[in-house]
Amino acid sequence: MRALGIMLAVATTALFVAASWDLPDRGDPHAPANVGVGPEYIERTEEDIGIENVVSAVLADYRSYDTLGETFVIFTAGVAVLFVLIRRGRDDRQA
Amino acid sequence: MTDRHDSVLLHFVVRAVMVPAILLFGLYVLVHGDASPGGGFQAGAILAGGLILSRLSLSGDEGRRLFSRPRLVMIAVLGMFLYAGTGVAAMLAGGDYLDYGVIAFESIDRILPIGLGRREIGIFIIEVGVTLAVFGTLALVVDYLTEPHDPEETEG
Amino acid sequence: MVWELELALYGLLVLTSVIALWVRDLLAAVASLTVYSFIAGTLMALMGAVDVALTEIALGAGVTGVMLIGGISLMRRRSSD
Repeated sequence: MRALGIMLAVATTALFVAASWDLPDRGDPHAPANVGVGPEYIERTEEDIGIENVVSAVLADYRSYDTLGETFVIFTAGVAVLFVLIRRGRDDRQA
Repeated sequence: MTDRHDSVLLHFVVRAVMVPAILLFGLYVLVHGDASPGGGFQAGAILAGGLILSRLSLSGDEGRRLFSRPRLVMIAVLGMFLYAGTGVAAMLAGGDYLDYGVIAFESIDRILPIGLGRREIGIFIIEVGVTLAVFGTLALVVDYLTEPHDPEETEG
Repeated sequence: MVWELELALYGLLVLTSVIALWVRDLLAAVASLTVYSFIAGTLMALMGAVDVALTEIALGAGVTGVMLIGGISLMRRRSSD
């Protein structure tokens, strides 16, 4: 079982290393991630939004729905954790 | 466990140096988020980290009174309302949801004539909302996780 | 000059993750994970993703460590394998 786990780990590592040779260089302007809407945002943030930080502009304005959902997810997860912990404390007192 | 507050050096370094520096850096990240890396999420996490550090290392309970559990819940909910409410305000002003550009911020501009754009004010408001929500949630969860295991003290 | 630093950081990254899996003491594993997060954040800052680095260090190295330690203190300390 342990040998199987090690073999699986080595195989997965080899797969990832082999796949990483096909990744584009860091900061390559012709990489697929950098030829879509990215340059558009960088060009238009100054006149559209009027702030310097393109990351903030994308997060808080262009993709505002995303950030709203993300914040709701964090809030909901925190509330769920709270309910679990509050129930635990009550069980302790009853026991 | 009981004498962890006794070190004078720890007390001084944490209370006088680390906690104020962390809280100040969190506020800086929030306020300066439009021009430098940062924003609401990071600011909330840093502020929560400062509060947690002060609670774990200091014996004084000013922080506990100022940010009690009901207040932390209120802070988190207020942050969510601030975010969602800004979107609703944009709808009331005749635009799409979360389209801050249509909200008339002239009254704010009259009070604080620093020449901010409308969208900039809207972005700042929702960043404050995110900060409050993340700060309240993280501080609340850690507060419940690190509470002392004394049956007498576990009342909420 | 920078790539040597990055290589050393990548080595430390692997080392801390292996340590976090290897040790039986869960508290030591959490400490190792915190160091892992900090190194990952430093690497992100070196790559120019300062926003992500800030989040990683504030959350991964700061708040998550405290949360995990709080979780450990609620149950037993030893890992079973």
